[in-house]
Amino acid sequence: MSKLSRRDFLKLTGALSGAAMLSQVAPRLRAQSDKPNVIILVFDAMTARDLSLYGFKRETTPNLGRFAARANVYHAHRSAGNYTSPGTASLLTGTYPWTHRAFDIAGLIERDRVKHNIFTAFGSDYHRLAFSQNLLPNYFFGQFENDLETIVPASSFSVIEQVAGEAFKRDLATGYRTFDNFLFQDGQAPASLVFGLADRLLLRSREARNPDADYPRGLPRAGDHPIFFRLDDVFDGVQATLNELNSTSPYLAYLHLWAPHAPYKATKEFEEKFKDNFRSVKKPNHRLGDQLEYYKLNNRRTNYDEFIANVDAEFGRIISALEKDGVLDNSYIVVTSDHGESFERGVEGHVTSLLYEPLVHIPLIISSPGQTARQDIFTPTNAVDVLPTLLHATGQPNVDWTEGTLLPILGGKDDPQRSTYSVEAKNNAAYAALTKATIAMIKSNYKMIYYTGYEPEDSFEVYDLESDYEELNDLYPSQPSFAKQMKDELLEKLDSVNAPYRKSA
Amino acid sequence: MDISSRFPRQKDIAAVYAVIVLMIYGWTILKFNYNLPGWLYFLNLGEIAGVFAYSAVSNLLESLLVLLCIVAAAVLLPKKWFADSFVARGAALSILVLALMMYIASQFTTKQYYPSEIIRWSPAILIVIAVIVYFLGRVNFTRKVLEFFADRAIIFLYITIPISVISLVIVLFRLVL
Repeated sequence: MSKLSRRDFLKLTGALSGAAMLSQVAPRLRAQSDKPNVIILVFDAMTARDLSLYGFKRETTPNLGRFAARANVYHAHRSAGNYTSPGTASLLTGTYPWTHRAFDIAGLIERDRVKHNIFTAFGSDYHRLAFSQNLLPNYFFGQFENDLETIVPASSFSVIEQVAGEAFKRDLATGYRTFDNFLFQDGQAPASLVFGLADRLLLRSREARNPDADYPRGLPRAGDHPIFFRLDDVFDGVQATLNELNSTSPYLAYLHLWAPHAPYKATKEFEEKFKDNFRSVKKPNHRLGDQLEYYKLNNRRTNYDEFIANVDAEFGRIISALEKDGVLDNSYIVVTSDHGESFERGVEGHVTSLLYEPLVHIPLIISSPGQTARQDIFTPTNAVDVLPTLLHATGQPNVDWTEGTLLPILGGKDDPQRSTYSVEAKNNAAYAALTKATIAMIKSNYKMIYYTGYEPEDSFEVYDLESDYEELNDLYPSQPSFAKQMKDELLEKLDSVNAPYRKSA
Repeated sequence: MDISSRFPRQKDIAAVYAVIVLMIYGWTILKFNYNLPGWLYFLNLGEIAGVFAYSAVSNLLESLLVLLCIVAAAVLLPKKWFADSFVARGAALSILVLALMMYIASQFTTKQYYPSEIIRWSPAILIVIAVIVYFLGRVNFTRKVLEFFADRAIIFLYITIPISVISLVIVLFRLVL
């Protein structure tokens, strides 16, 4: 009898678990429909600023470029927040963080708005599946569970996993929050003295027993959560899931992958891919930043870029398979991110109060069914636009609660007067008016950043993104009348979104 | 050997259990209070109560597990080593071992840092603790202090046991219905 390798075993179990999950809805299998499928592929913490597709000097994304050759490429797309909870919630609800209110770490969408999400909007005509390696979107899946046919567990397709919350399938969100984000929380002393400590020791032991020669820096890990994975396993799992979904067409699949989020652990094939002389533009540290040293940020950025290249190679594999299977001919495929990543101004990562472009400028590439040519769109767009656009493109009924508009090419028009926003408010109570927050407003090629509630006083910055790509020349002091126009508009907007919370206060 | 005769009295078990409960529930409640202001930012009271219920049930199981180990030690070890001063030695053992666990747990301050040194030394520390526990039970003064403390701690059982039982019902209700 031939032996199964570990990878074969993982592929088999991944495919079988996918099949088992889908078999639960077998009685509801839909007849093949004319409606196109929708696949939303989210790469966590992927800034557009480090993708060669968007002009980055390092060749990080040749395969994304190959995919873009038959897709619509949005060059000025922004996330609505600078980390997972607000960014993902905006993508899934088509509303800004000041509306959905999921702007705290592991925050939730406001209860009255839970029904305002992409899965509900697509309705039961579609088989709706959600998978996220990051636990934070899983809190939202728990809120949406009545509108999801399949929730693929976060730890699927991983090499090592010790996610305790998944044992509580009927109370998933509380399970995750209690066990994985509290009692067994990594990165701090576990709140459970006996089980938490045992969990920590066991995880360490399993990690030590599972070195992987392909990953010299260690296996990629889903942040604070005990999920260690190989990129190829995850992409194989995603592909197997999509293959299974083909029998339930039409389907809406939301697939949120951890990579290229930190820790940036590429395979040995990619770990030294960028031994070059590239240096980021040196920028002064921001007063609200972490004050990290420039050379350290540069080194970390190289690791990040290598990880992106690694992710891109796996993405190329999956896109080739989807192309071969004809999935691209009957599906909208959306490739995007929930937020960006910073390696400048003393800040590494994205848990910060800043909203500069590396943190909010994210990729958006949408391939329509059977599309053969590339189209480039330079109008500013936002994550909140994706939901209404997909509804429109697939012929689903429009909804009146989204704050987004239709994306150009896919039903929308260029509107240079439109303002879009990104909001950072993790230090502000979700139930209160925004008084400690950072808000970025993009209008045409101008961007205003407003810091409110931070010492010593509220402040504004204005940049012309067309002539000042690196946001180094603050126009706020030098162009007071133009700055005042933008300031008035932003403050008026903030006042209107804060109004309901001021009344209740 | 008549095992049942080696079991400590229920009253003594309750006293030792009270010390365990004080340590285990106390640790979690401290952490809970630390997290509470953050949760109040975005969770409603029902959701926070859910987290509390799961935590209380988890604490109940943890405390019973530790108690089981201590009672097993009393049953299996020679009487003079442990069972003769069950309350004092059981309380001392609970305090010292759980304090060691608290120290180790508090070392996990980042994802990267692993306190290998203290974990490597743990078996030796446990042997030292066993010796200390033995002598604490033999010295009249320390034995009485420990017995007094354990006896006073029983009051906490009147709070934690009902809370844990209610929490257990809530958890079962959430998981079944």
